[in-house]
Amino acid sequence: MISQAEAGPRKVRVAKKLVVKDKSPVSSTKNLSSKFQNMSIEDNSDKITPEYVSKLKAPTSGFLCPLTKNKYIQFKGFKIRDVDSGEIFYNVSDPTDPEPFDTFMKGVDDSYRTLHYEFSKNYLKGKHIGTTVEFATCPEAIPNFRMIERHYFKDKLIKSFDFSFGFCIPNSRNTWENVYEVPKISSSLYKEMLQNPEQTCSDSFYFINDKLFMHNKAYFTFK
Amino acid sequence: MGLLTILKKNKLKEKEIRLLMLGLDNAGKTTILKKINGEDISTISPTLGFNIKTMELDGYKLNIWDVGGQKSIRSYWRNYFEQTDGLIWVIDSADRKDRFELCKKELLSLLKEERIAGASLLIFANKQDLPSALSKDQIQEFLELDTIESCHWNIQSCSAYTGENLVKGMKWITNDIRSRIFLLD
Repeated sequence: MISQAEAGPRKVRVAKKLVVKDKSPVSSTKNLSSKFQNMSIEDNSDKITPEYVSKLKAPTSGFLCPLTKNKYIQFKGFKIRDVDSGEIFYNVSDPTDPEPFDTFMKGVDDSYRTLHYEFSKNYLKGKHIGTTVEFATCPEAIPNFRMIERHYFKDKLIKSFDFSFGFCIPNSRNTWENVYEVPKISSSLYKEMLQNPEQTCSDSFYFINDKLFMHNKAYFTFK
Repeated sequence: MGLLTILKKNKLKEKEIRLLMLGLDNAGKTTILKKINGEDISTISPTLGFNIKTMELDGYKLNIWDVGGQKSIRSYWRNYFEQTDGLIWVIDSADRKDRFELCKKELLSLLKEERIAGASLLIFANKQDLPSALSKDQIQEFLELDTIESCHWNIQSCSAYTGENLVKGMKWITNDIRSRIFLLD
């Protein structure tokens, strides 16, 4: 089991609950909410396929599916380490049982799925990085669970992951560590990434039977 | 550009090796997985689902699936058979007699499964650091491994606690898979 992070918060869901920046201010919130109603994102998210997100060339401007679509997975831990040096860049773990799956998304807002990470700059120098996610699953079996993650720097794709977990056992607790070779980056890009907090970001898309049910965003700062 | 990408992708796909690690509860599957990956093994709790490791080894992508061994979970093992290139069966070499019987029964029923029949089979005789551990030869005889004809197999004594022989076993199974599947490369 992943141990509790030294200074990490106990609950992953509130790990980095920061205010979502409003990048494109709209004249009034009333306007915005009526706009959303017309868009009917619930319907649109059914059309988001793995093929579609695999072709994305830049971060999405918003979330491609409503929060309430997720009744299946609750994240319980994240860990990022340098496999060669053993340095741990990030480690949070929540050993508690998952909340009821049909209600846990009620009352949460987009800050729930917007994560802000701050890593040591050694992260960019690492040769092999291991990222671990831990998640609990709902009381029903999940037939075909798949994750696609797109990483960008300044709206340019730098890395992409596509992993099929396949079957998940009912009420299970699972981990996946992905150990990958970090692409060598030039010293100028290294500098640029250091100097531009939150310009390195990712979209994570989660599918069951190729249907999108969860979309998270992460923003990275290196120090 | 498109075709090249497709070719490259297809080639890469073929170079993915999928290993499935099974065995009774408390055999040491998760400890093995963590130890070969240089992780802390001081606090490991029973796996109530799966632990997957994806890693690059000699240019090949290796996916190792460690699925929990508790009785309630064993009935789900079959959901992980598909596309398995190698099966790693882990044994607590210092286990009780009745557990050895159960271990034999579970292994034999796995070997009857069509979907993993051709997979390379590595048996880790784990916990050799314990004084009461049976030797690899004793286990080989008890499990009647010599009667297995459906697949390539190998038994390796090891200790997940000390790390002894873990890499040796992993090397055998990946090499065996490679020579079977990638012969035409």
